[in-house]
Amino acid sequence: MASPKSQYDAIVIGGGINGLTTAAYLQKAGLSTAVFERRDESGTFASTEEVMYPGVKVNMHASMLMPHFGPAYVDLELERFGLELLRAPGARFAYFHPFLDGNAVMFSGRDARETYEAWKVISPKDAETFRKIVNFFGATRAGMPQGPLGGKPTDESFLAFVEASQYIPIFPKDWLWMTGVEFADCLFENEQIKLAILSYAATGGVDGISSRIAGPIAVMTFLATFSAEGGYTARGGSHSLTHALVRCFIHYGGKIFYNCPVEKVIIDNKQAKGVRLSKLATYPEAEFKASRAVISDVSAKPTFFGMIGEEHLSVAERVQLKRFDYRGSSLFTNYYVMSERPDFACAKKFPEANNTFMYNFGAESMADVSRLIDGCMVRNLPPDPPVVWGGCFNYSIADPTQAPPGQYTLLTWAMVPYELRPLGGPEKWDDIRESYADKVEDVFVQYLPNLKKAKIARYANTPHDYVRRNPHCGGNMHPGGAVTEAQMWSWKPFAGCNAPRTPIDSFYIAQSGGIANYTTLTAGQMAAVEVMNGLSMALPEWWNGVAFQGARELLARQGAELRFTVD
Amino acid sequence: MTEQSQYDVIVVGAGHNGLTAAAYLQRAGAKVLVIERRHETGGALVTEEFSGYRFNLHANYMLMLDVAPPYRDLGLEEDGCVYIRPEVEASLLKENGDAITLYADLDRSVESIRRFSARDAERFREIYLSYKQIAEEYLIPSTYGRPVGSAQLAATYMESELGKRILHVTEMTPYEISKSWDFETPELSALLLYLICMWGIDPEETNSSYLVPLYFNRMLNATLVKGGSHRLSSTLQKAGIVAGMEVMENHEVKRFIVEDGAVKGVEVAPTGTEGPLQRIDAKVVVTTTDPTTTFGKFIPEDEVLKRSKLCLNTAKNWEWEQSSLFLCHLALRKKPHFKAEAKDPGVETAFIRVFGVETPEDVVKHIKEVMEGHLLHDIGHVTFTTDVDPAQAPKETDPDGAVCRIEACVPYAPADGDWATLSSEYGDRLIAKLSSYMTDFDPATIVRRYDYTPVSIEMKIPQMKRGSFKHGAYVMTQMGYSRPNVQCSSYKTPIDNLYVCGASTFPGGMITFGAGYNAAKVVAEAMRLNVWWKEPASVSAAREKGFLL
Repeated sequence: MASPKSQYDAIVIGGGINGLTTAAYLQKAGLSTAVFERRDESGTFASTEEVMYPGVKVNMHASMLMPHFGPAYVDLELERFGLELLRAPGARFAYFHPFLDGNAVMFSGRDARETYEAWKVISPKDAETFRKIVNFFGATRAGMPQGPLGGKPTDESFLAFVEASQYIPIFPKDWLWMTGVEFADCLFENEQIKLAILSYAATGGVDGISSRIAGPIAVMTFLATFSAEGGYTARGGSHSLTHALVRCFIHYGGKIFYNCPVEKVIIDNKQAKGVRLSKLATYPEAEFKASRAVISDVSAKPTFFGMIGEEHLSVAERVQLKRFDYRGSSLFTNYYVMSERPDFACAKKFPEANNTFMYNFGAESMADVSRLIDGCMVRNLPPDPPVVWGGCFNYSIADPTQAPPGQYTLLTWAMVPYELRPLGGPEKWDDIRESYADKVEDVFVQYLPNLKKAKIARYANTPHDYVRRNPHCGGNMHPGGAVTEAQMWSWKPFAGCNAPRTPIDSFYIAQSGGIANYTTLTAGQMAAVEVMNGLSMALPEWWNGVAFQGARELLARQGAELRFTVD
Repeated sequence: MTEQSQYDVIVVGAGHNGLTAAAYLQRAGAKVLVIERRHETGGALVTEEFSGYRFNLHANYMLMLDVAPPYRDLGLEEDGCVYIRPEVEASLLKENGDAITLYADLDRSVESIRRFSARDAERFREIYLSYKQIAEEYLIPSTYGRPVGSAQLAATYMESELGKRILHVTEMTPYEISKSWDFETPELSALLLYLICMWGIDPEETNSSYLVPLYFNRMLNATLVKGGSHRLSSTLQKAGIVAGMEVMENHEVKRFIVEDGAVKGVEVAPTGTEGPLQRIDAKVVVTTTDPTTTFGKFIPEDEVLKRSKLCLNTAKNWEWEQSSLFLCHLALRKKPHFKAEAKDPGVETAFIRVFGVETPEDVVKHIKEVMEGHLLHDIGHVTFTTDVDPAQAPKETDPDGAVCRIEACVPYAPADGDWATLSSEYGDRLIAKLSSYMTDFDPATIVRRYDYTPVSIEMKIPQMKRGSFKHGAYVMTQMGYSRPNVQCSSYKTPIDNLYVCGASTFPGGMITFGAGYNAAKVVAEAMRLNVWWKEPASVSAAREKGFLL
């Protein structure tokens, strides 16, 4: 077998969207870069497969695409490389939570005034609270967290944020020290509004909303920023994002090794020098050298305990990493094809629901939230009946190419625990896959009555199915580990790591920082910036994208603008 | 999204032929755009992951990858696309718990056959070597050049000893050929006849008999792409992209823009929609579509008629295959074992295990029934891709996991029902039959099952109408120099600037890369591009003998 080039400036372990982002930045900046991917395809969690029947594109994981919120969208020319982000034509709302009484709490796609008007129907008082919150953030832009879009989170930026957080009007002074649930409970009076806000924030995980710091920040972030535009889908499905990143990377000369799981990072004198592949790789046990940097796009435990090795870690680092947490929520998916456009019961009162990309359902009272948290965080059993709060998507209204003509695809994500200890372990998911899917469906038809007669097919995917595909996610819906107060900001994956840097010289980790990564590509972008800083290399002229620049350009092309305030 | 709307070459369809033509032409200096209606390139080279288990939903057995010039010219191996040749290529499972097994290594096959008949073992060696010579000197090289007219070819055959042997083969049906082998072990003839006919070759017609030595040779050298079949098309695509080729997915061509008898470009829309339409201009359009689409849909009838009555006839009278494929893909937590492993250890890892037939007559009867629309018998073959490439199952979570592919020759339109209802029923039947050859198959170990029927084939790849996975039947009027017709079998069509290169052109279906490779040369020469690649010596030698143009 011909042996490939074995010497690169930089090596990236893992060809997920963040690994590819780091790799594409570095390669475009002139560093010869190789990516090592264990699967036969890039983009394990940003993928689209035809697992139902031909013509039906199933987005296996990432669905709410928002690369245009981060700098990489412009810097890496993702549109030029084929990415076409789509939203439903004329859609005014980004998200809704329907209720059995026919109500829906809707978040506007672009205009805070519309959210305000929609909420006023349900609770004038809460609409007023919302108005005050968005006016504060919209007017001042002050006190915004160093979230996933704001650059590298540091200890200093956290302290500054804590200081600033005390002076946000309407928010209680100690709001950061509440759980997300407590915070929503104390901000709003109407239960439906509380549930809608929590469900939106919960797309960051049950682990998130039941945590301090992470939880209230998620609630605040969804209220103040993301609700402004919501996610998109991509023409042809989520895998198109991966395609664009791959094409950018290889256009600039990058090299991707597929079917090449990395066994070990080669470390010499506390410095990463390259990687050694596993026995099952296309090049079994081959070694590849990186003269400048090795970057892991794999989560903390497999990175440090698997590929680095405990012998290279201090006792304090080992103790912290042993505690690294993957618990919390995993996703149970029902994927549907329908022969009719989905028609929600709440659309009688809120017609825009049928033209809205994202939704959650199944919680009718705060008691249901307790049930969800109890099932995921305490008892390790899926809630029964399910609370379908992982983020559900109505793809075909945005992109008709994802289903055969006249057919519609949609997905429901129910939050569930992964381990299923009381039933005997995660492999028990195989036994209850269809029965739990039925339970989710029983809940769903109450909100989407035309599913019953218009359902053509269903494909269910359990948390264990996700882990089979992507073992390094450890069962959490976020491949970078649980989103809790113990592992976020500058102390993720552990305090003192200084991620994306690590205690090992020339070794970086891309699954880091912020709250949750979503598809903003900022974790990968931050890792690339850190590598350049570590090498004392100036950023090239094109490397100047700023957060939201891509979104602004996209909106300008659509002749739309965002309104963050309510007059 | 396209950067520009003017290209040198537009390639319609990103199957392996389209990608091959596109990559050669981009490297030859043309600015190439590939348009693909699906969200992924690769056509039949499709691997989808079900719960971490990789199913090669369509193409699986690579018969020509090891000998195809693009594999070397485009540096696919250097780029990490590697194939694995299984040591054990094929077994026929017998009802009595025994089996007969053939290996990639000739001597091991001979030894294996000797267990049944010393005479057959020596006969097999003779036939193997004879067919190997025919394949290597004529059939393989002539895949990678333009076809010669049939009258001229027949005259050429008469000029050499090798040619006369080929002619002798072409005068018999595959079934008659199997009898001419004169094996005393019927299972051996049955296995070989099955391997030859499983791709829709009629055992009782002489149309495709010249392919018998090729399939005999190639099925016993079949390989598997490491990681999954899709790796091959992704690597092909990359070979074009690094040279600047562009790909536009999720868009389908609605029509060709024809002005003054010449194609000037195409009009596309997002797949499955009527618009918005986008016009893209090109100096040349190379299409991998079948003639009913190319001449019957993309170009108005009067425009075709102006240039070629024959092309319109081809579009109207194109014949689809009389049989198709049914695949039942299984993800298994634990791989079962076969009873025959006790007597024949080769069975344990055989790439293809044939079941349900024990004599060549069984094969003939079964295919005849299928072509008449019946599904009377549970006959097929099974491959565990994970025997060859364990990484195609999720070893971290399911250490004993296996990917199983049960495959059968079936009618597109069964007389006794439609595939919507028959699909799971026939899959169940095949699983039940197969498990009767096993010692420990447990249905509870099935993690995922995916039935892929002739209707699925047609839905996935519209060029494979009626499940016609070779884009059209192998009948005399659609073979060799006549594929798709005598005006187009050298890839140029009577419509100026329009070229064809799909499986509906010479040399036909299967993953050979022949059509894309040959068309690239014709287009490159016509456009006066740099023909940067060097023809393999075996192809030049076959041309000198008059076997190809």
